[in-house]
Amino acid sequence: MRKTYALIQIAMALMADASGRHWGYELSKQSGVRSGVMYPALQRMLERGWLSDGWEEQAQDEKGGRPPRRYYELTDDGKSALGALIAEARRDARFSAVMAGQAVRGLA
Amino acid sequence: MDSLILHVFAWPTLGVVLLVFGFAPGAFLRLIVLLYNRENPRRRELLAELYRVPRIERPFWAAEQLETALFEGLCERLTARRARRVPVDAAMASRQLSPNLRAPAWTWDEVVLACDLVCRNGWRIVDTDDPRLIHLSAELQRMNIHPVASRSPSFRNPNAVARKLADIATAHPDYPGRATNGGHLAREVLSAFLASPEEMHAFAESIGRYAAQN
Repeated sequence: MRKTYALIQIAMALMADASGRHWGYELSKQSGVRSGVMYPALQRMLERGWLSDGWEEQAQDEKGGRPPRRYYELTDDGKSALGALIAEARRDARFSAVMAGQAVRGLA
Repeated sequence: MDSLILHVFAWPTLGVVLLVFGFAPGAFLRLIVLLYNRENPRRRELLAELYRVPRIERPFWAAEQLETALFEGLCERLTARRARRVPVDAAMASRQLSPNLRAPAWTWDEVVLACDLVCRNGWRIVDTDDPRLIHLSAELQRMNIHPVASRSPSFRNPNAVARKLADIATAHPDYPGRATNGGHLAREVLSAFLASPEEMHAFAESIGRYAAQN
């Protein structure tokens, strides 16, 4: 996958809670990437097996009546691929601004 | 002051607020998600996410999804439509320009080699610049299955091989999206790999060895 600012931002947001479940809206807020860029990136990660997805059960929904949401989880492949990607970006001067921005968000 | 309060709480103002922050985002989003194919999970996903977005942000968030739907949903639809039309266009063009330079159809042996690579990649799409894909492209070009005179300039080049690998990867039962139009042979070889992976891998290795010797 081509290394872009958005990809690094999404990778850092995902790796901030590598074993947790991630939801579209929260992930967009956390990474600072708008959904028009984030969802296609998530789709490419799914296709490469870096993420797995699922739908929350109704019981998880504390406020009844809302439709179940789709969640994303990092696979082992995804953890190592995104870990490597972030490590590369840390060494790459082009991504220093992204790293600084994510540090402000508490993700770096 | 009283008139200001009366104005703020007037029925028309209340109606506009209800429309913009209550009814409109949901209705607009329901129209937007129609850009996706019916089976695309993004349709359900975006509608479900809307209810987690704070009400004040909903109009802006719903409008933002138009970009997502245009670049993801509409592009997917157009790509699928183009994939259905390309073989016809390519066939017509090849007939008009040069009847001898049509891309030869993939044979069973070639698809087995392609499927073996997708299998080794965990049934995921292989990038065009992946060294294993480039090696496979060179191997297929070296093999003497198709007479050199019958080959088109793009014969089994990395792009052509990547398309075949994507056909196989997207036909796998675990693939989350929609399968590309990969043809019967790709599905047949994939079924053989799923039924007996070790035998098919050994078969692919023997094809590779035979190709290297000849």
